[in-house]
Formats: sequence, structure tokens, C-alpha cells
Amino acid sequence: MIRQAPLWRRCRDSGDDQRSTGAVFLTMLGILFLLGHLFGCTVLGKVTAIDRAAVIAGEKAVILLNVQCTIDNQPCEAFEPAFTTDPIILFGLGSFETVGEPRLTGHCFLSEASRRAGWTYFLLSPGVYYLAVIGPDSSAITTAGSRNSQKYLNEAPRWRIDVPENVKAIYAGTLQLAGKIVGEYFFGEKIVRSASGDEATVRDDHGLANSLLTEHFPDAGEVKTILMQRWREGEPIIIRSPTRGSTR
Amino acid sequence: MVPVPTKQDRALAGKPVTEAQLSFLTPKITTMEEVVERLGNPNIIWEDARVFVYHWDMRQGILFWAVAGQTAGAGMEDIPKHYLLLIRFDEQSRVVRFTRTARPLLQPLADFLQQWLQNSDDDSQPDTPIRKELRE
Repeated sequence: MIRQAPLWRRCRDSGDDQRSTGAVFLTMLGILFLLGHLFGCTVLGKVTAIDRAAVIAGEKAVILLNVQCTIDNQPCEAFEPAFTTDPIILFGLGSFETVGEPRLTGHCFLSEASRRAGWTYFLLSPGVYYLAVIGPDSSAITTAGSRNSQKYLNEAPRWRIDVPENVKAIYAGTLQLAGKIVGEYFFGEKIVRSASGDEATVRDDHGLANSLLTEHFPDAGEVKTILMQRWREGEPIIIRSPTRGSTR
Repeated sequence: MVPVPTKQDRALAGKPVTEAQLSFLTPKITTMEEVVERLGNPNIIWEDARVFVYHWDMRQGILFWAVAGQTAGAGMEDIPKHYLLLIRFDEQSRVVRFTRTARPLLQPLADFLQQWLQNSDDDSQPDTPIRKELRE
């Protein structure tokens, strides 16, 4: 069973159609920029045969993650379809190649229903990864496209994800993020900023994750719950050599 | 753009480790615990290679720059030198090899670490799987 989060649109005024051509252009530009970074991602819906083959072969593991988001204590969708609005959550991922420093990365969805319920996944080779989370922030896309994007990613809250060898499906936890409305843009769009800061917490919903992964990756075998661990500035970065021939 | 060299007397990032601080390191004797006790937690732990990495940046110069035209502007940037202390341990968590070195400005850290491990001249240790793999 998948929990349905109320639509993010509840948090908005009904002034979407009043956007000027300029605003629409800027939005599209932002989305195009983001898509430029979404390499290797199925973006929406179907899991590709290539993804499935990589998991079955043990080259990669599917890492399932849930993001529950509230804005001013009202539940909101963490992931809206990319072509309808700017994303309020963006991810960076650090690996062996970047020695843990996060780089902007795409994320994928198993289905429309799971996306709306906050589920997203990554396909990763065995190793140690660092997930940086920007948001909830209505200007996340602008931030990601700015000259200082790496600085924002480096300063974003970060979690360590451990992907051991010989595990095909991992549930990394449910991330609970809170945002607040701090104002309004000229055309009525709400300005949302992260309210949680370092207080974002990880919850264990392994029952839901298990049923979702079993449905979409039936060949992946047992789903292992390895909750991501908060990493803070000053703690050692742990890296593990990539397996031969693997790419993220 | 005009680069101006400076004395390396200012740390831009991290905590510098001097040569003198390394005098306690003795291969096959010094333990991992002693290293942490003396130098603190490493910045990076390369788990499967059993390598601790401490890194810090020193200022080696200042780059003065100016741009003419519509987007005219000028400024200055510090030019860092990336220093590293790499300590490798054996399976008994004792120091095998250590190096205090500087990484080329444009070489990615991961490449530098892999190269260092590959070039490791420690013959007293049996090959670890990762060293074999890197050599192949």
C-alpha cells in the first residue's frame, strides 16, 4: 500500500495561469538545465530493461528512498512531475570518484503513484555514497544552476549510504523534511525555504519499501534495510574502491 | 591575470601537519590508535585499502584578475596548494607506509590516491585485492 500525500498545489495560490512569458521561459530554462544533469535516469514511471538487467546481474543495487515533506506543517509532494513545476528537492551524490563531495544527480521513480507518495530510487554500484539534499526550496533549481552550486551542495545536509557487495535491493530510509513559506513571488508563487536545517530525520518504513521493491524488482531478492547515516562536517569521509568496471 | 607567489604560511582549509609531527610514525610499530591519538581523526578513510588521508590547503600565491568590457571587473583569488598525508596500515592496523606530499592542482583527489596506492613500493606486504586489481 502506498500512502498518498496531498498535492503540493494546495500550498499555492490559483495564479499559475497568470505567469508571464518571461517567467515561463525562465522555468523552462531551469528545467532544461536540470534535465541536462539527469543522466542515467528514467525520470518517470517505468523501470527500464537495462536497469533491471544491471540489478539482476549484481552490477548495481536499487536504492530506494522516501521523502516526506511538509510546508508550514502541511504535507506536500516532495516530487512533482518535472514538466509542471520547478522541483523543490534536489539531490547531490558523492562517491569514490569525488571522494564524497556531492555532485548534482538525477533521481528516478518506480511509478507515478510511488512518485506521488515520495518514493525515489537510485541505481548504484557497491560502495559508499554521500547524499546531499537541497530543499525543500522553491529556488532549488536556481541554486543548482548558479555559479556557487557546488558550495550549496557542499553545505547541504548530507547522509552516508552504504551499498555492500551482493545486495540487490536496499531501502535507505524515509527522510522527513520540513519547509516554510517565507513570502511570495510577484506572480503569486510561494517562496519556500527549508525549515529543518540539520534537524531532518530518517524514519524506517521498511514494510512499505519492501512491498514496493518486490513489486517493481521481483528478481532482486530480499530487500535489505540499511538506513542512511547522517554525516556532519568534520567527520571522516569513508570511501570504498569501486568494483571493477563499475560506474555509478 | 597576474599570479603572485606568496610564502606558504597561511592555511586555506584543513589542519596542516608538519614533518616534525610525523616523527612518531614507525612502520610495523605505530598503531592506528596511536595515529588517531596524535593526529586526530583523518579527513578520509579509504576502507578497503586501509589508508588514512589527512588533507589541508596552504596559500601558495594570489591571482589578481581583471576583465575589461561590458562585464568589467577585477578581483583576487588565493592560489591553493593541496597537501596530503597518506598513511597505510596492514591487517593488524599497524603503519606500513606514510607519505606527506602535495597533489597537483588539477589532479582529482581520487586519481591521486589510486596512483599513490598503485605506486606503493612496500614489498613487505602481500598484495591486497585492490592493489592487484589496480595493477591489472
